Amino acid sequence: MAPLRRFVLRLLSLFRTERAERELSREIDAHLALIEDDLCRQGMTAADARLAARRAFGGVDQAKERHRDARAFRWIDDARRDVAYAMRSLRRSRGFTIAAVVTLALGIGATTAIYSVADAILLQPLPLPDSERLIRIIENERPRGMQPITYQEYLEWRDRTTTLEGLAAITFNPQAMLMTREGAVRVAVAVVSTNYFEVLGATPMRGRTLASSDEAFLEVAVITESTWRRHFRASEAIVGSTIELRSGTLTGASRLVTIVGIMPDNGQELGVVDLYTTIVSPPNARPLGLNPLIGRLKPGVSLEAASSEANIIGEALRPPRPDSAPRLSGPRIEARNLKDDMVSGLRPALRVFAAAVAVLLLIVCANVASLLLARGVARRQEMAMRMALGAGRGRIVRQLLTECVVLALAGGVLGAIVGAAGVTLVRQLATVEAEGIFRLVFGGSILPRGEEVVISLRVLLIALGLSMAASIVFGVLPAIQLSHNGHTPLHAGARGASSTRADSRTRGLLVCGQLVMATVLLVAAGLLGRSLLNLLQVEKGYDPTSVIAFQLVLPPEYATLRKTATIEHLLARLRAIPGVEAAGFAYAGILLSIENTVGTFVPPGRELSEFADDQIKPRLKALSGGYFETMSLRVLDGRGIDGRDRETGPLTAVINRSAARRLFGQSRAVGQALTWHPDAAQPAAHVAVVGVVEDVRQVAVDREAYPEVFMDYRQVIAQTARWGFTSARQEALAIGFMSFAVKASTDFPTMVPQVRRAVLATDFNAGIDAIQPMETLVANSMARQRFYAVLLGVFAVIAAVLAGVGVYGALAYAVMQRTREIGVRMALGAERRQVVGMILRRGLGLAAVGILVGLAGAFAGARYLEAMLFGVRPRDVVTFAIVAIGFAAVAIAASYLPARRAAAVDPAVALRME
Amino acid sequence: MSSERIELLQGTLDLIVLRALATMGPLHAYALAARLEQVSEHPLALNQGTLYPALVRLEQKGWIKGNWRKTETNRDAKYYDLTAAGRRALDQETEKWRRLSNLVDKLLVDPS
Repeated sequence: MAPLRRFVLRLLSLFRTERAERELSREIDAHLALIEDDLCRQGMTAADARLAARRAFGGVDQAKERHRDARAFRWIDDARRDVAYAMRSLRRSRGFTIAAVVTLALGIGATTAIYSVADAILLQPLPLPDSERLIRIIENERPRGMQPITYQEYLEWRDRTTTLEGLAAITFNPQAMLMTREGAVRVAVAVVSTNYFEVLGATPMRGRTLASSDEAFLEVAVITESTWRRHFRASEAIVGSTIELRSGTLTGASRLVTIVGIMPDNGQELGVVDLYTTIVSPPNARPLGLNPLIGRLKPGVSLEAASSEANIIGEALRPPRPDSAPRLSGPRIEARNLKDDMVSGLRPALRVFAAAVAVLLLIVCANVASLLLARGVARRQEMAMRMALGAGRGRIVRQLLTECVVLALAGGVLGAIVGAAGVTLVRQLATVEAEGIFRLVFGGSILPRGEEVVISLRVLLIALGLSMAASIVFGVLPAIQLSHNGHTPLHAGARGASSTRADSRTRGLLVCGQLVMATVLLVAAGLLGRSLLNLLQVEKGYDPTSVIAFQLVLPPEYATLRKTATIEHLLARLRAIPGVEAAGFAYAGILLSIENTVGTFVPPGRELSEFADDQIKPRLKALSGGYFETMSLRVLDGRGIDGRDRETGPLTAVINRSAARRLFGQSRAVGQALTWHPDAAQPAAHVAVVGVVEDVRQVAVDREAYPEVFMDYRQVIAQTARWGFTSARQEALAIGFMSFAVKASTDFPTMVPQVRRAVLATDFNAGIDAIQPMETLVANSMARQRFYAVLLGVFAVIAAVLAGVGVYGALAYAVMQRTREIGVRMALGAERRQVVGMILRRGLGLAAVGILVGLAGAFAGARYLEAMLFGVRPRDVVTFAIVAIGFAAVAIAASYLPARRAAAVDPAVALRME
Repeated sequence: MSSERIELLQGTLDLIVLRALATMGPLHAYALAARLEQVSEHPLALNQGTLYPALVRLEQKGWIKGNWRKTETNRDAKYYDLTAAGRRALDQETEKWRRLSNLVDKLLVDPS
């Protein structure tokens, strides 16, 4: 009890120091007075009594100090004093403090930001209960011609599995539209089996999720939080109310759907989803799409067991024909951990960033270290004096330690702010602002699990700890050095700081190290930058400047004829708008990445069997006249689709260069005829090739072009009708997403209302989805590369600046140190030129070594960047050369100033300096 | 003036102070020092200042309590009283001390 009481009082006494001191003084004075009185009574004079009293008492100050030690905790007192002194001394050398704190903040901030991102994406489990048991079943190679599994097969799979306690299916409907007050809005609809939420374990924010009792009902839906906010103004009344959902041209007219619940955004692991509905389950339901199966392992079941079972079930349900069996380099079907599957694409890039940031942190530490060492040397005098006056080595070390800790903490606080800003920046950079259908194409963010990215306290503390360790080591080193050397430079002539050989070697080493690492980063950034440039310049095959792209939305109940008529009228109206140079229509615009293979095209004199089983069949692209001009597609031979090919005439097609090469080899394609064999046993049609056009990179700028056959959409409708395709399928192939492109000399904001007017004037039931300048779409499609290049560029620039500053600092310091020496040299006849040369040589020497070693390191490590590069080999000579020369120039510039200062030294002044 | 200055452990000084207060009633620091010199055969030759850490320790433990009063000569001085807890502690600490000194005595006896 008593010891505890004492402990608490000792702690509390920190806050009552002043009062306690006063009381103590009073008590001691009273004590002394009493002794004096007695001595006076014994006959001493007042003055003698006073002295004698003091002597009898013993040391007053010592008594006070020991009282203090007993009253409070000595080390807390000392620490407080140390901190106060540290802050005073740091405040005095403002330049150093600012440089050190800012450098530390940059290092801690950058490290925290990137590692927080990596932690949130790669390490943290999914925000679902027991998420490690969630798996996804992947079909690695599908036999030729085989569609993805159907709903029926999924149901069978569910019945057969013994390793999974739940199996759900998910697929996406890209054509769905939500009818809101503002008209039809495209929403990302996920169509799921009723046990989907149960398998995931996801809980709703409001209402309920889909349940198996909903199997019979199509009319229930669950919306996501962002949809709720965006389209329903976060109204609480939404749960239970009905909305009108149109499933697009593929599955019929609109239906009324009741919203039964709202899901939080954080669970949207599998792409952009606005709304969930249940799978329509007629017996021959259409295929479910790629890798739609999500499951949960039974407790205790391993991933391998589930994987082999999945393979068995998959093969049993869909055995491939012997001739179309896939080439197996691994199992055909496997089960993968859901989280790993989601993030695996980003892993290589994140590794690169983690490495880059680690390098940056090393540079920062080297920078701070050299700052601290310089400061240490400058204070040698002061420390020697303090030691001579009786301070113990431990005391001085503790003092320096406190300074370093204060510095590191200040850097840490600032670094936390920088880190938080950095995380926000990364999230912003990674977000792709896309509208309408392009939200589905591009996704919401380059980073999977982007919404979960948040600054991690653990990472921050680790970064802080590392910086503190570095600061302490290099801050305290001078003190230890001092006491080891034994000599105290208190002799005359050593008032300024004198550095030893070892000092300048250490500093030189640090600067070299910084240069090495900055070079490596610069090379990496250079490679990525070149990648980006290549991407920007790649021959896309089309020209997006001044082109506006949008999707037309028509009521699905319109007859095909009416839709085609509307399209033609709209095209006419668009062309009539002043400023419009060309307008065109395609069933799916460029970058929409919708690909359709319809039947097989066979060149003359060849057999269907030669081409029927081709892995790469030419794709059919239906479009209208005017599209080629609008997109500036280059016609290589013959003509483009220009509107003269009506449904009444013979079938004509324009093929692209890849198709021409594949189908006709070296001979001229124009003038020849292709036989078009549909999939079913229908009579083939003859299609005359009237033109060859340059390849267009339809899907994304960094993917290769594909053989394509362009036909007028009206001819496609006519021919597929002749073949007996349903009108839904005809429309899917010929009209599809109804992408329009308009090339206009007027700017985008002026054109948009005019386009809208034209659309409304054509048919006031019509709507527009995702109207954007084509250039924005192209930029979005390169968002990933831009993200990489920008991020790494930022690091590299910071690194280069820090390294440059490091070089400057080292040299400026050296000049200052050697002022006297320079003065002597000049007095002895050296010319300014020679002095400048001396300094420059040192600077260049450091730079040369640093840059060369850095280049070697980059050479060795460049292959890790392979996955992220485009059109650039990792060991690209040009990039290396540019970095070497550029950075050398920076180093020269950094050396120049100190060299000039050296030259400006006045020998007389220098010699007189102590 | 400086005869042997006996190095006193913290704990023993505390014990001595408690005992003095128990015997003499409330004392101020000077009186305490005087009492100690008076009782011991040789003067302990403590610096009077060394009492202060002991006093603050005891006060923090709650075994003594200090307040300012007037001396006979009408001077201000801080007097220390023994508290109830202090009295209990005195018994306990005395007991411990006796046991310790017995033990040390036994150990120091020459086995002969």
